[in-house]
Amino acid sequence: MNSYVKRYSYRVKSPIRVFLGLLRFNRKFLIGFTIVLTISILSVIGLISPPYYLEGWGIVTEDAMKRQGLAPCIPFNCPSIYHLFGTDDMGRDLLSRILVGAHLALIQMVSVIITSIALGILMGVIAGYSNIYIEKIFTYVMELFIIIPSMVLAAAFITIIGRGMQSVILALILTWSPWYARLTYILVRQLRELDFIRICEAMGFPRTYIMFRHIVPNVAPLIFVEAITDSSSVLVEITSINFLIGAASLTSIDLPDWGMIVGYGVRYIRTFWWISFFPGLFIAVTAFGLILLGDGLSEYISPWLKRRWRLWF
Amino acid sequence: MLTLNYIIRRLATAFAIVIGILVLTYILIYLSPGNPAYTWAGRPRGPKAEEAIKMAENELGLNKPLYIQIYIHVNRFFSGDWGLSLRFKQPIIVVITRNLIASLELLIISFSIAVPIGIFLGVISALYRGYLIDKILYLISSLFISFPRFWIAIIFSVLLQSLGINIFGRIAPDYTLSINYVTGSYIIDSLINGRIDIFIDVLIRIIPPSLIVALYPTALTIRVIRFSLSEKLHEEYVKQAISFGLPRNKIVYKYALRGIIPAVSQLQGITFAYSIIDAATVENIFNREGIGSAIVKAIPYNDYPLIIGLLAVTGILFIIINTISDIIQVVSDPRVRI
Repeated sequence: MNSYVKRYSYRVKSPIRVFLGLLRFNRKFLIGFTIVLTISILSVIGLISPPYYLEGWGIVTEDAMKRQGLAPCIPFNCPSIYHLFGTDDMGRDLLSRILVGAHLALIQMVSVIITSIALGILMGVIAGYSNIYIEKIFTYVMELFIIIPSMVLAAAFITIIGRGMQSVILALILTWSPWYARLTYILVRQLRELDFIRICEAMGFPRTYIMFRHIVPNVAPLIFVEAITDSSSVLVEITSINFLIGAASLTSIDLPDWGMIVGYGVRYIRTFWWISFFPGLFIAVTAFGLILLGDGLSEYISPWLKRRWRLWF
Repeated sequence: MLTLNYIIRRLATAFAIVIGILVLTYILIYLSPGNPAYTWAGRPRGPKAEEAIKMAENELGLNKPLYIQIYIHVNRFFSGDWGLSLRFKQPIIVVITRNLIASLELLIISFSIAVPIGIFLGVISALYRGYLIDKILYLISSLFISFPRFWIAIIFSVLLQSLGINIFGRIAPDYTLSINYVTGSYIIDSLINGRIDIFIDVLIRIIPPSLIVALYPTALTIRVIRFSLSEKLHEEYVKQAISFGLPRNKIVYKYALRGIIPAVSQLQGITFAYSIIDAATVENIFNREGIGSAIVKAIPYNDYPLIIGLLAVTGILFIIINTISDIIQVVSDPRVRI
């Protein structure tokens, strides 16, 4: 039996019981889940009623111009009781912009993760459980797309399609899905030597049936846990690319994306630090929550990682 | 040992992937909505727009069949004629070499900081698994993995400014003219010129951004070594070494650590590709030249030829790094060579 498969084999419980058990006994999972839940609730609040709704979506209202007189520094208001996180270069309230931007960040991250898991599992299973020519072609495609730098690909899509979330998401899907494809491919190559697949083949089941009935259910949970651990890296990567777009923008950006706000604020960093600081804080906290969530899950899968041991030599 | 057969096969695969990347870049040009020549010319407007589009059409050879277009594109890449950058008004190969060397300088220094520290802390973390020091290292590494490096760089640069220290840019403005341009990397150039003052100045300017870029690989190395070393310490050969009564440092660093060199070298190859985004953002904050700054300058001008050139060159860079890490893997672990 192969070590990778053996390590991850565990008793099957219902997902709800697993979740409740993790919440009760795993502190990392609890903290991570709380942070992610809080950010999701904040994103819903941002969609329904942020303090200044129109300013959150990037529209400069007359109020914004009038309100600039309330705080000592104009037009960039310092963080004050009227504007908790201050205002940006157009006098827009940063707190509302961050709250409105929360759902954009979550949507980008989730769509990248889910699409690349689906594509990756499909590619990996086909590559691992087909004849040798298809296997060669698919592994070549995987290696090719792993090599491509997502940042530059996103820049190319921006010049072709236009500035917006879709080009960043497309670039990230193209560069993240081969990772999961490769991981799936390695797992499938170990799985296809095992008895229950051999028996299915001997009984004459069609290959596509074995693929989707027996191999995918064995591979998918492991890839899913891996993806949750990776999701914080995905979030940081998305915001980094959006940071570059924001830094490249010549005029003020309307779309309240966190990375873009940080990137646009870098040009004012010497005097008005809060424009870049607070959205970055939100990115950092969200990513930290996600990594705790993923670590909690992987500790559940391989519990020996947590165990204390004696140095006996 | 390393066989010639394996190296040749690995290099052939690498070459196939280079060709694949070049073809892919051409497909990106060709599939762009509307007229590819219009995108290639940087979406021109004004009285001379038609002329520019005509020139771009000639450059791409759009009136010929597709496979000949691809052949022309690949051929142009290998002959070094990549066209003119629309933003910098210079040949693209010059712009890219200048920026790539600046980025590589940063990345290489940050990795040479990250790898030893990461291995050392990772070994400590694996040996004292579950103890207080392991918990502290876990917290630090997950903070460094999850916090965006540009945010840390922003905080750092604000702190530096409030202290009145100005170390932005690659080199002090007074020194730029007093140095001969040989390799493009100021660290090497200043040593070639024999100017120790410039060398120290450049080194001081490169260390804060490279420390920030180094955070992510350090943290990831700590995690991976903790994970894989704990596994290795339960293997038979380690137990035998323990029963011989060898000192602990020798067991860990000479025997157990040798078993995880493949995993670590593969990890560094992957992380290098990821860290280039960190380098790009940090460069922007510290006002340095580099790939990130080049992209930021190219996007508003729709400088498509430059971006395509960057895509090809960074892809090839990653292939080289991955090939090196694969060969290291094979040298240390013969099982990979199948």
